[in-house]
This record gives sequence, C-alpha cells and structure tokens, in this order.
Amino acid sequence: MSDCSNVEIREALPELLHGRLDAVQATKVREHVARCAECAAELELLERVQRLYAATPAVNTAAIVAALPRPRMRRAFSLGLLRAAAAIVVLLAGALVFRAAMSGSENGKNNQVVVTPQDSPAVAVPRDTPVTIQRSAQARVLAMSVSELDDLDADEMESLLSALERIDAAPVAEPDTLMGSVSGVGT
Amino acid sequence: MEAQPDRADDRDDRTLIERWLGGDERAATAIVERHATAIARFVSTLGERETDEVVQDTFVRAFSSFDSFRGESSLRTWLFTIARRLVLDRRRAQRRRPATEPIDDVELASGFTALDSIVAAEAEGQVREAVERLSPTQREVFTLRVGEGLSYKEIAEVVGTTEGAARVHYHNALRTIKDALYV
Repeated sequence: MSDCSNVEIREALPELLHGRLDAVQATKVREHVARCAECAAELELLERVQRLYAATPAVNTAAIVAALPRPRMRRAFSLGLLRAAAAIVVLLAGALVFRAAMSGSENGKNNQVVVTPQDSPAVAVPRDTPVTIQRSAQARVLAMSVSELDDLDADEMESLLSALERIDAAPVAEPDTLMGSVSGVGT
Repeated sequence: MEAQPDRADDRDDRTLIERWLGGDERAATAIVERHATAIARFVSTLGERETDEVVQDTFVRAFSSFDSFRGESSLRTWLFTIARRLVLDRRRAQRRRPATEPIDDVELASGFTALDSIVAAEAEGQVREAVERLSPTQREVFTLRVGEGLSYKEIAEVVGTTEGAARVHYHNALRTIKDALYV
C-alpha cells in the first residue's frame, strides 16, 4: 500500500477521525479522500486501529473515585478563618493598647493639676509660679480642670482651699539657683 | 492543517477541577468518568498489566496535585504524562527485583495481549498483531495519535520528545503497520 503524496491531508486524517478539524478543513479532507484511493485506505486503516483501541475494557470509576484524596477546600477555608480571626485579634489588641495608652495619658494629665495664680487668685502663690498638686486620696476633689474652678460656689471653693492646704505642693519650674548666696560661704 | 483543540472540553475540565478544589466531591466522579477509559487504553498499550492500578494511581496523583496544575496543557495530556511516568517507575522497580523477568520489547508487546479476550474479530486481530510489531515508542506515539487524537505537540509533552520526533515515530509506525497488513 503506497502513501499519498499530499502530506497535509495525511496529517489531517487522525484529526478527522477524532473530529478535531473545523467544518471547512473537514470538508476539504473528505473531498480529497473521496477521490484518493491511498488516503481512503489509510483512513480505513486508522478507523480499524481506533476500533481496536476502543475495545479497551472499561475501568471501575467508582473504585478510583473512592481512592481519591479529599478536596483541600477545608484547609483553605480554615486558613481563611484563621487569618480573619488573627486580624480581629490584632485589631482588638491594638484598640485595647490604644485605649490603655490614652487612659494612661489622661491619668497622667490628671495626676497633676497646675494651678497658676491668675487661675486661682485665692491661692497665695507668687505670680508666674505654677504649682503642681500631686494627686492623693485626700485631694481627688482636685481632679478637675482649672477652668472648672469658676463654676464652684463659695462653699465648694472653701472646701477646695482647705484641701489644698493639706497636700504637698511642688513648683514645676526649676528653682532659682542658690549659688549666689552659697558662693560666699565657701570662700 | 492545524487541528482545533478541544477548548470546550478543556474549559469543562478546568471548571470541574475548580469545583472539586472548592469542595464539590461530585466533580471528582465527573473528571474520572471523562478520562479514565482513555488513560486505561493508553496504559494498556504501554504493556502495563496492572492497568486498573496504574489508572487509579494516576488519578490519585493528579488529584493530589491539582493545585499545581497550571492548565498549560489539557488535563488529558497531563494525565497521560502522569500515567506514562507511573508505568516507567513500575518498570524500573521491577527491574530492581532479581526474581522478576527482564522487561524487553517482546514482553511489552505481550502486555497488549490483554485485549485478546475483547478483540475477537479476525480483522481486528490482524491490526492488533501489526500494532504489536511496533517498537514501544512507536506504539506509544501511534496510540496517542490514532487512539486518542492528540496533536504532535501534545504527544511530545506526554512522551518527552519533540514534535518533529513524534511526527517521525507516527509515520514510521504507520508504515510498519501497512507493511504488516498489505505486503
């Protein structure tokens, strides 16, 4: 059995057999095969071979499927959940830390009340000398902003002043140097 | 003349893979049903006697690594590649066993006789004998080309050769079969 010299058509015969040619190509090949004895014989041979292969016994697909691994979807899903949970934990932790920091800052601010003479003329401290009032259990009443002093009535102001008298006060400003008075002592 | 690739089939395969990866286990059945027979056919023509086992191992390996399937080739081509590698691994393992008979071309050809009970017709028998005369590589290429309709490019991927070499193997195989049947 000789071979057709049209290599392009011969190459297309297995494709025709499996329906892998488009309509135009398939028509072209069929028309050639219809008038070419060599190609017709070759196509028939290929069909016989294909039938031979088609006779392969069927496989047990159920047994194969039963042996397959499970989809990894669950792991991916749980990983996603873990990531989301981790993000929430980080956000919550951040919020708590931020809140604690702010609370600490507020407490720090409230730990001292700076009273200047113009804010509280009743307190007999020199002008321009701020006074830091250290917070203590006795002086919680002072945990208010200086601007609130204006809202106090006479009795409350009296109470505040008496409380002030019972607590220590320390000037915020650096003390004046005593070097001038001390310098003469050593010499 | 360029064959039109089965893009619809490829798309269906990719959809099924995505469904399975998403947790739809019914997609596994669909994938196996689409390709198991072709894989079994190919494996049997390679001379492998434990066809069922190799086919099962092929799918197990494929499903275990669908994450890495990039879809550059069709799923069927990829499955053929896995099946071929498994057959070669089994041959190497058998060679290491001293009690096992050496595997040569004659033995590989005898593996094809698994089809004896199925193919009864005289004409089919003649074709079968002609195919048996092919070298393992020729038979492999011829099976993928005629039995499965793969392109030379796809065959080259499966067999691990070039398109040109696959084309030469196919035409040599065809010549051998024609000579066996018509001389």
